[in-house]
Amino acid sequence: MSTSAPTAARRVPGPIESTAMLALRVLLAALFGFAAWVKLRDPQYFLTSVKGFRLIPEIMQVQVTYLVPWIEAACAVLLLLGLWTRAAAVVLSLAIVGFIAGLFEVVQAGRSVECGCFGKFSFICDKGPLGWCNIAQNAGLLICAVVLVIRGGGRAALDWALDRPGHASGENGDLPLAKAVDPRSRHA
Amino acid sequence: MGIGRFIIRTLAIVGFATIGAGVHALIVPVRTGIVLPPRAGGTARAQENQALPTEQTPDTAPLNDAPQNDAAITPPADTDAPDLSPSQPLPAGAALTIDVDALDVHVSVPEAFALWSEGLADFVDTRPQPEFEAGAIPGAFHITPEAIANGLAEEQLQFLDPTRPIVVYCVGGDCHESEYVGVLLQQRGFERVHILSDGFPGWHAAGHDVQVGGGQ
Repeated sequence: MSTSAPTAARRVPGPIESTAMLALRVLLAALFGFAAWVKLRDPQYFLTSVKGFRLIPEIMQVQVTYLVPWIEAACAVLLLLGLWTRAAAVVLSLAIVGFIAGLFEVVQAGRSVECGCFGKFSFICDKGPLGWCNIAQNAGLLICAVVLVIRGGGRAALDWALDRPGHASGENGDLPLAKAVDPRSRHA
Repeated sequence: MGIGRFIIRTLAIVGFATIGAGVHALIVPVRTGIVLPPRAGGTARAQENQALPTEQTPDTAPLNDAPQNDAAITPPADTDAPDLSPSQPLPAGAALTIDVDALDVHVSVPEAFALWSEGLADFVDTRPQPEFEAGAIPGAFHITPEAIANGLAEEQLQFLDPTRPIVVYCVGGDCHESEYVGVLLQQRGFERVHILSDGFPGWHAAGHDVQVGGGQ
């Protein structure tokens, strides 16, 4: 790790790591962007999904129906741009944790519920009643999001471009473990 | 400093999503469910225990040994809610009774069977085409969510009478299609929309007639 500098210098991600982070960002942005699009396009269908879970109080079902896809959309755009990457990844992680909790409850109860995750479409898992496949799928997405929380968006991100000396506040909204130091100064 | 800005940005994302959701809800409101019109107080009563609705007879095929056309409904004398069990046959010609106005949004298989056998309701199958062709309630219209949402079901909808009850079904359980189609039907002016709670599997398991090969 390159964070061994005595001043807790900001770690500079290498090209491989940056490419991997870019790939993760694009993957999550594509999946959640699509999920948001199908839900925003047809909120009535998503509402039937929300009601089918029977986990959310009736008074909140409509709010959740609108809020979830907008959170997904906002996070997808930010991840794609690499802007506020860690904050977006945290929000997405919390959302995924909520999804997993709901899925777990439904699967444990043995109820036959269809996932409204991607509207009428499905990826990886077969379209049909929810099962462990859906939980595993969401767990995989959660791992991807947590990696982004820990490692940031990499160098191919707006965060990195905006986080140069004399350009920004110096911490790009990152967690304090990533204190900004001009990477070029390390080689001076 | 770092954590403070991080939290602010996290809250900003949630706040933006909340504003977007609020505006979206104003522009594209949803219906929270199927709402039946106020009870009129009328009771629909069948004249005879006749067989099937006229257009439904030719393609029907029983899939098991359960009693068929003479399966009837016996309203118990001492209760308001009739026992609609199809396993209690009545002599041919006995009257069937079901209070259409008293039905809930979700109807049971016996209630749906009563509506079907008395020709009091239209049935809408919302499952995919292969499942519909493999077996459906005789006389049911096939209207999928995709078809109705994309305007491809207009021709089928012309055959539905907005004044008659419509029973929508899918695969039972918590499948979304029937409620989704039911809401869209109500948005199009069909007032009395019901959902068959146990779906086609429940109908089939009860031993009622099944139409194979698709139809309407």
